Amino acid sequence: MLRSIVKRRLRMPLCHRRTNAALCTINVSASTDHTLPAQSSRQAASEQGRRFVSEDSASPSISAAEMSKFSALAETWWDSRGPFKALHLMNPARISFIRSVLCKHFRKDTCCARPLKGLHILDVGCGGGLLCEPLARLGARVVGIDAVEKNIKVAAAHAVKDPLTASIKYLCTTSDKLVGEGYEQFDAVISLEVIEHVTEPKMFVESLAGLTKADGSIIISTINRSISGYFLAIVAAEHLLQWEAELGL
Amino acid sequence: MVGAAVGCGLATNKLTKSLRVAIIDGKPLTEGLYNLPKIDGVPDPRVSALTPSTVKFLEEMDAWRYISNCRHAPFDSMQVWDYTGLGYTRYNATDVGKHELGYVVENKVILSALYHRIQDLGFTSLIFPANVKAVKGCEKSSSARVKEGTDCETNNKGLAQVELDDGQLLHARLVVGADGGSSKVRTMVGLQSFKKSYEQEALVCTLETSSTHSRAWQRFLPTGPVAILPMGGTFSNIVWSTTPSQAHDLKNMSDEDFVAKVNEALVGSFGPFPSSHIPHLLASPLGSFLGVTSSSREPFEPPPHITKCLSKRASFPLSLAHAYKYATDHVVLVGDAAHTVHPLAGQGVNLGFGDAATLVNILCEGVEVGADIGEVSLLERYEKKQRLTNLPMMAIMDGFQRAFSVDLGPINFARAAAFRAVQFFSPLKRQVISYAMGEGATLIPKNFQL
Repeated sequence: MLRSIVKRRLRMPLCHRRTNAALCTINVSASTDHTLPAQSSRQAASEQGRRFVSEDSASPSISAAEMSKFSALAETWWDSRGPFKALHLMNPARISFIRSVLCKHFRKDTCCARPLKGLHILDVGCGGGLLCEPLARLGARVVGIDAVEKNIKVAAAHAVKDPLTASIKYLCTTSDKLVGEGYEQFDAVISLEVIEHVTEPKMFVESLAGLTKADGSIIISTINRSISGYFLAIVAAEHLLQWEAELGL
Repeated sequence: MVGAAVGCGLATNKLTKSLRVAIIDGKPLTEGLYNLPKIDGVPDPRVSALTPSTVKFLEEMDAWRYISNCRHAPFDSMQVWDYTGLGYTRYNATDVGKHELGYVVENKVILSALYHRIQDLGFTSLIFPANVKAVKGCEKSSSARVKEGTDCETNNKGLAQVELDDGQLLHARLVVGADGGSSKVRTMVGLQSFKKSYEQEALVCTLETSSTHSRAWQRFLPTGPVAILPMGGTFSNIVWSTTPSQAHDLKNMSDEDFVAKVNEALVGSFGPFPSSHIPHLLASPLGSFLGVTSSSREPFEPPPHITKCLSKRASFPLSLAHAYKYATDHVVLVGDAAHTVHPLAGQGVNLGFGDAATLVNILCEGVEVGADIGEVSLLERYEKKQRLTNLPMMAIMDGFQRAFSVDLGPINFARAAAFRAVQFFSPLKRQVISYAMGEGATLIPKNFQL
């Protein structure tokens, strides 16, 4: 279904620490059909039968325990010295990669302040908006979605402070639901540090594909499967800080 | 000057040239600020000795050509000695394979060149004259640089607020405080600063010498150093750091008396000229084979004779100051607002231009990743880098100032030994010259540079 997968090791600028993340871009080709019929998506949801705490109907992707954990931390998203310090430190490197990849794919001029102008981007699992805001400043029209309502509220409240980010649209929903609703498709769909938390990664990626235009781009990031990645990101960050109960790793 | 350099740097960089920038300066717009001063006429006594590193920064912004078409004086050597006559050091640009050690340029020429360049680039929204009345609700101030965010009134909670004395209210992503040693911006946002007064004032004036020269001369007296900088032709600039009472007397005496005093300070008073005894090893052909610098083999030369005082004499107090933090939310300090240093090595404004260059680079990096340019973590990267450059230089200058202000036998001999060590030990001399020229990497390990 997906034509090419380009895996790159993250190249860090000297001022950022190694973060043991792996970023992967998937360039969607024109010939494949990525639109999942709305019917099959809803069937998939009911077949899985997992529910989570949300205003809307359940999604099969994310478990309840996962989400309540993140709810507690929502307010501290934007404190660059708080619990999400590592994400803040990692962010410039991620944005730099995304910027370079999208400019190359969409043939944009990299030597300007807003190279992503004209692109419509979806951030799946946007959290407090750490990715959405820089992308908006780089010129893109951004929609951020997250299954945790508190995150969306934090993100929206923060984004409105800066005129350049006030136009970001935040929705409390999931990618499968958006596909089910027949939501518009995006030039780029980005999902960073989310796939490791979903129970059905294949279905999740299919939903991302369903939201991407033909000739669009999907960018996914997750923790590197290395010893240091395990100790630094899984054990230290997620177990010690209790970000995650069970991963099975 | 440093504020204008920040503006110029932003204007010349592709990533930041779309930022809207307001330059707010309390001084009235003097006629001809956009017109470069004529080359003829007596030079202004307020000058700066620019290091090659600063000149490179100005060249990168394409502002240097305005200065090079105007009056500027390169100097290619320097001689330093003290009142005891026990030792001297000569530095030549050729010791490090360069043609110049630096350039002496009038401050108004530098400022005009920067504004000229900014204007040529069509950079918008220059606002001056105006005084800043408040930054985020604080008291009156003199000048600041403000980057405008937007005119939209509703979405300004995440922006800094600047109130001008004419009632205008500006909202900006970043306020750059470049308003000098007694920075009001720094005070208004609550950034504390360490300050130590040197109990000295620096007196500046333009003089005429009996002959042309392209050398910087500095003699350390018990009250402080007196320095003569070439300004081209027979024009020279004097920077005489001394006690406030002597500075006051020197300012108020007649021109002839003042000239006599200067000649006395350079030549006539205290100890004799240092002896020019050069060790045989260095003077011999083996010396040049071993890579001994040419300046090590040059004898002491008496400084030029001053014939006339050509301008008004002005003075300013000297102090060592350093802000504990250079940045806070949406506000950052550059130049003298962040740090001041003794003028004995002419490094003050060069540290400021270094701040400007680093700040522009950091802001470009921020824009490249869509960051909020007023975000304190971004500004702290600028602070971290500049502290590593500024603090060692300030400590060294302070060390020199203390070492030369003590008139005690053992200390005098220690100084003499130091003079001779630097004069005759070429690797050390090359390090000193490189450091003073702004190639700071020689003293700061590379892996600390960000």
